Amino acid sequence: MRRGGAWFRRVVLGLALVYFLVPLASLADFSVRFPLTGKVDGAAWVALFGGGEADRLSLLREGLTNSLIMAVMAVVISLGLLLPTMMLVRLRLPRMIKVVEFVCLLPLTIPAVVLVVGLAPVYLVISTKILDSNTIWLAFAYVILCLPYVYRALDSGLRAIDLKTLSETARSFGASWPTVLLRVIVPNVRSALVSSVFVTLAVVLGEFTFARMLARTNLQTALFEINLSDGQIAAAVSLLVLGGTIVLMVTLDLVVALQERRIRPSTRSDVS
Amino acid sequence: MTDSVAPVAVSLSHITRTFGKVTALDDFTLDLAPGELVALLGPSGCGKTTALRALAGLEGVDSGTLVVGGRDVTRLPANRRDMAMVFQSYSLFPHLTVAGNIEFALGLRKVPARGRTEAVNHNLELVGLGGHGDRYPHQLSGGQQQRVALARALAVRPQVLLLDEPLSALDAKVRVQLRDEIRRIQTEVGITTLFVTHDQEEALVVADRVGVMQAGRLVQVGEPREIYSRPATPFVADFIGTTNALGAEAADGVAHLLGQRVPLLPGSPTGSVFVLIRPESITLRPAPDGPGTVVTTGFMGATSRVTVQLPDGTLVRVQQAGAAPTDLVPGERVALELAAIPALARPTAATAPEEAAPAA
Repeated sequence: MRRGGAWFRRVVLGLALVYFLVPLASLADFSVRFPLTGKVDGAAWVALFGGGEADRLSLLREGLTNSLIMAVMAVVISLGLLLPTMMLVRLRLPRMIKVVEFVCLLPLTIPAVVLVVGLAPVYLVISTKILDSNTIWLAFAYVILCLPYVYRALDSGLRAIDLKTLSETARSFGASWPTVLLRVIVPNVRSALVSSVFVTLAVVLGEFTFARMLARTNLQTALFEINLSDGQIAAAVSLLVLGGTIVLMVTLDLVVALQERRIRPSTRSDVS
Repeated sequence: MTDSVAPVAVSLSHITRTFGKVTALDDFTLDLAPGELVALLGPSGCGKTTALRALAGLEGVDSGTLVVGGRDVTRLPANRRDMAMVFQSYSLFPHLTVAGNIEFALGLRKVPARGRTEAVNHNLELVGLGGHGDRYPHQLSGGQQQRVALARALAVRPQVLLLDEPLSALDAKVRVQLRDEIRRIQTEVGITTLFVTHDQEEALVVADRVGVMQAGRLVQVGEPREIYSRPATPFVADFIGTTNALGAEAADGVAHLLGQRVPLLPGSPTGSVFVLIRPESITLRPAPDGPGTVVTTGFMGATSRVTVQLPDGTLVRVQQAGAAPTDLVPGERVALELAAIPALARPTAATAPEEAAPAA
């Protein structure tokens, strides 16, 4: 049985790897092979790093910069909004937990296209009356998109700690509410925070519909534009972005894992 | 003690607190003398924890005043009340070491960084955990965690120490050990302390005075011996220790039962009553024509417990020192001798002790 189980696991792992790696390999292949002749050349990569395609690449740079700024904004806004709210609701208004959960999970059930239709008039006001038409204000809409994932991550983090006792203890020792949040709760839900950051990064860097339909430039719309004129450069950039995101996430994960290990060494000594 | 603070008096006056339709505290009044340890005792849901949390500022009050060291703190938020609390559940910050936990609390109280290490070491020594400063909470047993929580609470030198059932999550042996230690440390530091518990033995052993609560009201406050030997109401008699309710005729402050006379405490009713008699106030003697029949016997080490059935079917619990009573065998007839200790009586009409009105 056991041997059979191991075999089964390997097959599943192999299939999963094929499923994920074949498109990536194809993408890499496409970035270096001229589609019509099948001739291999690194023109797209040379253009990317050699600075030959300044015009097209400036669009890409703009899109990437916007997306990164929006990712940071979305992380800050969604965490800044949700963590204190969820804490407050759990401590003071436990009856509202279900309501907050419902509101936060709602965006999951609404297709992005429908959301953007609803948001279009809002952004008309934002771009003409309140702020301007800069792409980065899309970050507000991205906060809504990320809400379900951030909520889920924080929810599991907060469930894992005794929020009430920890905050009451800190309060009784003289901690203000911001101190309770930043110095007691945040360090104890760190891994939940990191997973919300991950998912927010992934959503914002991969978002296309909102930006396209509201005529803004983010990473994905820039890639789309380039793809229309030069598919190979678009493929190369996609690969780079994917690689960059993976490196970013692995680094974050390692940093957190190191800190966790410092706090929770594996040795336990239960003595009375 | 170098770190003792001048003990302050605490006064909770006419505190009322309701949660929806439930009255958790009903005109609750309690005064603590400087340096005194008062235990609040009562069944779950009687409001004892609410009283403690109201004093801590973790729960608001509907009416009444809280005065600590002459200062009215009723409307002050919890973080400005200069108290420290040890909770029932483990309350150490999991991301900080033992020393880090204490230092964090000291930092919140604006203790200068220079004095913190010394305070950490001193208070860890006080609770018997010197040298454990670099451990993380999850590396400690439950008892050790509560000791650290106590050290952390004492380190900030609060005006009032609040203990919310700090021992109830621990196993029996550790509980007894830590209970005695809390008393030793509290006496040593001389800090005014409010201790909430549902364990009557804990309250009786630890406290200078015990307050017994029932349905949001303080039914009786007194020294442990007084509470035990002169309960103000049948509820107190029933809740503190074990009592036997034996049918009797009461007149002129004396109850007549089993052919004997038992003096009654003031406030006891007359006529047909139940007299509340402690198991240790009864002595058994083998007697072929005695009124009782032995049902069970049990050896408990220092004492023995015997259950005896009376002719009317009442079961009487008897507790005596030594192992001699266990020589009795089930089915054996015995005579019951009642000690001439004043006892409390309640009218037979009262259906349950809880419903009896508090005696004046």
